[in-house]
Amino acid sequence: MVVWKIAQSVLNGLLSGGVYALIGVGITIIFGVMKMVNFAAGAYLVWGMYFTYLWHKWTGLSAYALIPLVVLSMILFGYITFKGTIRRVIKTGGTSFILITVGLSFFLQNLAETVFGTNPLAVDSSIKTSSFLLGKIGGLPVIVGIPRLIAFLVMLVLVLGVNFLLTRTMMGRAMRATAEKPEVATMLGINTNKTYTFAFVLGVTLAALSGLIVTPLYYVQATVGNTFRIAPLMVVVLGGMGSIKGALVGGMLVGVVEQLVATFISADLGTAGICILFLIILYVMPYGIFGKGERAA
Amino acid sequence: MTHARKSRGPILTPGRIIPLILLLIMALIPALVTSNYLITILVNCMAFAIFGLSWNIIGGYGAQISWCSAAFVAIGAYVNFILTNEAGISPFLTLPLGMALSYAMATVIGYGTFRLRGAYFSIATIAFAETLRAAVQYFKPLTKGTAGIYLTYRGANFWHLTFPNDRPFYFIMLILLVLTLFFTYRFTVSKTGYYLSCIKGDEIAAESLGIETFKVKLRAFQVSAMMMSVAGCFYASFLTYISPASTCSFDLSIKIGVVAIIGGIGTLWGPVLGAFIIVPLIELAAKLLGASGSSNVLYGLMLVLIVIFRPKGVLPLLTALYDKVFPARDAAAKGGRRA
Repeated sequence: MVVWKIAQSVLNGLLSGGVYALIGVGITIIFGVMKMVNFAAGAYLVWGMYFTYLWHKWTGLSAYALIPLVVLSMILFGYITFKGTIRRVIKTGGTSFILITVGLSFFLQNLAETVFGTNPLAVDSSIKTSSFLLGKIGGLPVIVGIPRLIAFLVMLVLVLGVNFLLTRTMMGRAMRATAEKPEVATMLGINTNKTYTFAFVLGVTLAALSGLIVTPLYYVQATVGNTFRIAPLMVVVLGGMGSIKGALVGGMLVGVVEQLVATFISADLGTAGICILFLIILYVMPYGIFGKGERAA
Repeated sequence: MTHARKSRGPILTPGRIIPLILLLIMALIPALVTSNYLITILVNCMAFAIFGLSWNIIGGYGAQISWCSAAFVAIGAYVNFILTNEAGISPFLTLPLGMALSYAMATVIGYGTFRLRGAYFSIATIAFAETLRAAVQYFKPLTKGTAGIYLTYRGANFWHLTFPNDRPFYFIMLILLVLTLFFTYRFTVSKTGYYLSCIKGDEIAAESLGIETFKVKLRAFQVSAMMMSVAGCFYASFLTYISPASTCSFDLSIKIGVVAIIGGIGTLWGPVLGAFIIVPLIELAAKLLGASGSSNVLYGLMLVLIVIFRPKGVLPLLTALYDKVFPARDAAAKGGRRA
């Protein structure tokens, strides 16, 4: 019984951790390039969900087929919000970054609530509740939810894609150079402003895609942003700021801890479990599991 | 410093007269205003001014942006309500316990994060606030969970801070505001205050001069947390009902930060000005627009706009005006200080 409970919650945790990891990768890329912690990732996730909902209403296609359309919408949305706000305080940096991204987070999430209302909406999906049996432990079935599994696989593909982008393309090289030292990158002929814009748009697009892949699991409403406000930040700090590998490992870890706490103590305390893990890690390994040693972005 | 105190400048400078006039006006308002609604709004303004001043200690003077103000407010509020309701203990006696708990919590957060520079502290404060909220919702026998707690009404009773209307709270908040302003001023001219402004200027340079930045930041955060929980205790008695959504939410932490930032981050009068601008403005917006979500949109928008266009807040506009009206005296005062 206990073994089964542990196995099932670890499995669920790994899968839901995949979503945290994807948002975390977005945050870590932005941090790596412009040394800005994006507190607004949860709000962009909410907008990703609403874009998915709107396109779904418009075209009738399933969420996964809408990935290109949602990506395009989010690139535009991310670009506009970046140019309108963060671009203007890049020179100031530091405290302004914290204030402006928290402000953006609060603004965008409540804007979604004002525009679309508080009623939970749903993106229809035939696989919403389908699952398959992985095996049995002590006669009890260990079950994998299909939407969670797909979310995890999409996440893996996206993270591999991002890794390819960073290591094999000119833009990726420019981003890594900017991450190392913006002044030197500028001298080498890299347009750092363009790199910042690209990194930010890439980061929030990953958050929006996280929103897309959770539409079969959550109702589309602005308060989902609260669920995803904290965990991804913890993920990034746990794994080491700026490290993609760290975000992946941190995501899984956070997912598993959250599920274990929720299963064995109380569903109310899932977030509290993550936060305590986070505080412990800060004491033991202040720069995270893969911090410092890993190349930024 | 000692030199300036000995120099005999005029006692009644504009810098001292204006706050006294403001205080006089504030003290006379309840006698002139009959609307209880207006009094309630003014009490809210003063409460947010006190919250903003407390936030400013670490967020403004130390430039360490904290997003867990609501958690300390909640500690003060819940300690007050639980002990007052269950054991009939006066809120005045619950204050030290609330302060002690806030001190302990601030120490736990600060100890892990103030060794690091950057956004770690801000992230940890959000994490902590969320943990506390989860805990408040979980320990239902004590906190009544999401249902919240109503304060037991004991008639007009100063010792238990229950009154039939908000007018007594007007004076209580006014006194608390004056005390907080005075304390904040004393803090800024204390050793810790000066160290803190060094750290804000350049943390690495401050460290190289022998300032123990970790200890100073921690001290400032502890002070800020204790002030916040004192204000939270009185504010809760004024509200007579508290719940995790009203006292322990991310929304409240944001509002408190915005009050100080809009007024003028890291200034003595900024949070007061910010509170008296924002609280009525939001009240008006809520009346006109209806839904509560839209007033939150306004908070978010104001925060973004102020960071982009007026990073120093609204206060500099007023100080510029002040310098225009009292140019000569001001120059004399400055000269006096230099001599």
